[in-house]
Amino acid sequence: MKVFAIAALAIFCASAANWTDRKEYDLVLSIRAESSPQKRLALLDEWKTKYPKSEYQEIRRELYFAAYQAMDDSANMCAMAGEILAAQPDNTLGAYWFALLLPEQKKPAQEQLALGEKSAAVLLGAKSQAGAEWTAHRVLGWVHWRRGENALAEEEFRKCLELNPNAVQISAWLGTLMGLEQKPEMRVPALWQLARAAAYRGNGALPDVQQRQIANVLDRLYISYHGDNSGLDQLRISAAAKLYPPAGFDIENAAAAALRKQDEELSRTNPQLAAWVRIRQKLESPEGEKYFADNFQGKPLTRLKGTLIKCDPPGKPNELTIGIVDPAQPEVVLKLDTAFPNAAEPGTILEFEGVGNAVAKGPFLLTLATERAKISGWPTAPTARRSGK
Amino acid sequence: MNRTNRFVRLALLLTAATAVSLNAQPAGKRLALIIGNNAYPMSPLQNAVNDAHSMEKALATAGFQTRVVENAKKADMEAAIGEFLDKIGPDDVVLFFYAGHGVQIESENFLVPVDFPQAGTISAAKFACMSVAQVFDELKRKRPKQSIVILDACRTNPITAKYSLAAGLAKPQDMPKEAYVVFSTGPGQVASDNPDGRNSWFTEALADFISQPSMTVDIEEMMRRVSKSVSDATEGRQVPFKESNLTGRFYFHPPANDVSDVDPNLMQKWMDEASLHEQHGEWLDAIELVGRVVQRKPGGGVEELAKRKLPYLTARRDAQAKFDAGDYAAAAALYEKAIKADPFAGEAILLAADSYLLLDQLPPAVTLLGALRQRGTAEGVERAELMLKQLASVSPEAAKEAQAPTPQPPPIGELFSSTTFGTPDWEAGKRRLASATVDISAYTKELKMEVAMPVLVVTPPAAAGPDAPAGGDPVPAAAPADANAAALAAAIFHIDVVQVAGGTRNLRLRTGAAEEFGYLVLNGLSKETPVLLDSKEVAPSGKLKLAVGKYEVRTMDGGKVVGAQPVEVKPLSIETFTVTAK
Repeated sequence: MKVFAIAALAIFCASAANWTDRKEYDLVLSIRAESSPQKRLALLDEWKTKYPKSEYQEIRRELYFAAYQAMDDSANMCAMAGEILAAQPDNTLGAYWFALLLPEQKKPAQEQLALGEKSAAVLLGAKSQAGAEWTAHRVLGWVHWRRGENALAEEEFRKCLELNPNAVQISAWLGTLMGLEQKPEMRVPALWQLARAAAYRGNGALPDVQQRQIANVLDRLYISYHGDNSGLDQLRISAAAKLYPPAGFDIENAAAAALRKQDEELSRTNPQLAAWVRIRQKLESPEGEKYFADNFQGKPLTRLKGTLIKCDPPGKPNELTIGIVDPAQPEVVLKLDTAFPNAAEPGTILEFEGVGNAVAKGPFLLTLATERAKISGWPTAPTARRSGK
Repeated sequence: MNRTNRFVRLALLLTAATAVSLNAQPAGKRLALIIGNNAYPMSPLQNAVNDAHSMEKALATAGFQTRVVENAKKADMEAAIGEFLDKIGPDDVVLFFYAGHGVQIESENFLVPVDFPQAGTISAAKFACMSVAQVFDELKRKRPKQSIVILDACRTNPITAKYSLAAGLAKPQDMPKEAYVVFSTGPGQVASDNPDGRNSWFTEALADFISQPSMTVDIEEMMRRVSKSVSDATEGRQVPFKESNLTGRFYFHPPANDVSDVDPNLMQKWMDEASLHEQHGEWLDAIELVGRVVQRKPGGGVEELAKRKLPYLTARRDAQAKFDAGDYAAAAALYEKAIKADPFAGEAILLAADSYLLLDQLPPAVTLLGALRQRGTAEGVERAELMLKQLASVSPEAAKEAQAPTPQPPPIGELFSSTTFGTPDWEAGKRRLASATVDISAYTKELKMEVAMPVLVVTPPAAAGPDAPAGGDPVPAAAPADANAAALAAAIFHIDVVQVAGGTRNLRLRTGAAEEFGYLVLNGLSKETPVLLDSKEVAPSGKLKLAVGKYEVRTMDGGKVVGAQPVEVKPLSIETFTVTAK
């Protein structure tokens, strides 16, 4: 209310102002009669040049704004709205249009961003007007984004979406902002918002050109993330219908898909190896130590097959280093209850069982305690050659 | 009617006539220059002139004043373009169509006249052609309302071959503002002249669409349809190209009643034309045009002005009819109505006063002249004061008014009474949000969602058949050789392919690339010569599919290596080894 009262006062002041002379009046009368914005602009320039200190400067600025608006000249509209706001800090017209147009400007200066914040403050003071609050949060989000204050920007964009979930321009911005965060957990929500911006067709939809641009971005990102475009159509449909993804919603990323396919393939061709790969992945995960303690500490592992890399000590080994996935890469150390009487060549294939003893990461190494009897594939010791008769 | 009144009436009618003649100027035109060049001595074309005439007919249906130039020499092209440019006014829509040979030289596009010399340097060739950039520059200088440039000039031509130039035209650069540029095919591509047809594929489709008055779609949509038609006709080989910086829409045939169409250029054109009709007292035409604008609700100042103007024009039309019929009382009332609609319409004030004077009603006439002294322009004030002085001898009210000082003009708020200053037009804001784009491409192009791929276990399939990768079992290469292999190794002549240090192993960790294998071709291998791969016999074949890595191909005889050659198998490579027979 305060804002409107001040605006009304400004109008009153304008109406109490006087013409410099009759020629100024004539000039403004000709501006009034002119329907062409270009010609109106030329007349406004003439007015400004001839009467720089006119008592109607405030009105003149708004007439300028209207002429630029009729010409769809975003840059000059924004500049003039900023000029209005700078001259009349509570002018709602200046605040609204500056806030609305600032995001359209290519490289706003820091002062413009600061003025964007001021425009938001004016609009938040005019909350009773539908659209004022939304516009305020929109420009605040944009200003924060431009300044790299991403958390604040996200917060403002979410407020916008709460006020108008169908304003999918904000979804496009929010999706882009979240995607740029480069945080794994932000990727699926980012894809959802971009899909919403690309697919939503109702009131508040993006203009066609921008919708196509976002759709192209979405295609590229989705394929990068997921590995292919399977499921993308469904994502578009779901996102167009709902502002945020349902709880538990996820999109399998390419890495997870590759691991899943590997697991499926190994389970079919080499179940033993598949089991080991799964175990190793869990042991290498951040919760690997707990997983080991819960499942393998002092407990037997499934029977495994691997390649002997090293015997220690070499002659009568009681500690064997084995590679399973890669025959050259140590993965398991078997600690024997009793040493073998003979050595085996590196490369010997062994099958073994054991009880979990310890696990190390970086490099990964699982230590198992076992018995000689639980190892197969060990070469028999050569019998001593008897001397000939 | 006394003499004074007749004098006054005469003066007033003179005033009105003067006002009508002020500022009359022609409305925006649609101008087209069409050039079609067939008669090239080196490489004549068949359809370019036909294309020009087809476009001439088509554009005429869309209200264009056309000029066609056939088989133009350089001087003809320059003259025609110069004349064309001279006609262009700021409110005009202009179209330049060219069919013929065109070339790009150092990324600049040139149109080739029919007298293009057969010899000369590249620099000379440039001067012998018409520069498209020059046409653009001239259009920039003339600043028409909208420019459309259509070049069906991407055909195969001898100049390109002669100077080893890139094919087709280059992407247009530095276009004029408010321009729409179309090529018959994409930059760097070659278009078909359609030797079996009368027109090129492109012009045939374009002229066909333009010729249809029912095709009330904007140029963007029309070009989409042309593109599809050309692409279909050429089985995808030719797809027209366009570049636009139009801020409004352009229609060859504007839709008559499409209320959703609020092209600002069109709205402004109608308002400008209405203004001219108003100045000529052509009320019906003015009302029709302003009515169209009001109906389409374009918003902003244009809509506001149109809404204000329509009742004024209607009252002026009706007042004029009554005045012409001698019904001055009705005319006066209707002029008053017009003044109510536009209190600053000096001409209506004068005509209302005139009507009252013809009715011998001096007081309302004097009141109106008094109002004109306040609200009129300096010129209007002067006229009002002159008339009041003339009337002073017969009217004390006029004498009193004439003696009073000239009143101050009304404050600015009254001039723009329908505008609420200081308060935004929220609806206009909503419309802007729905139509304006905020370019976030600088951000979106930085978006990346590549996922770090895990280290995968690669397990080559089992059985080292001729087409299988080396190994094949999760159990690695060091598996014991079978009995046959052992026998071979110990005795007979054979080829042994073994992996060596640094080579890839059968079972290994690596990133998940799929195609990490190559081939080893064993030239001169007889069917009887066995081949061992890592101590296992494989089916005799001249071609082995091997996992990527380093190998040694050994020629073995009697358990001894009699020859060895290192081989590195790279992804999808084919390495060869020539077997020397025993």
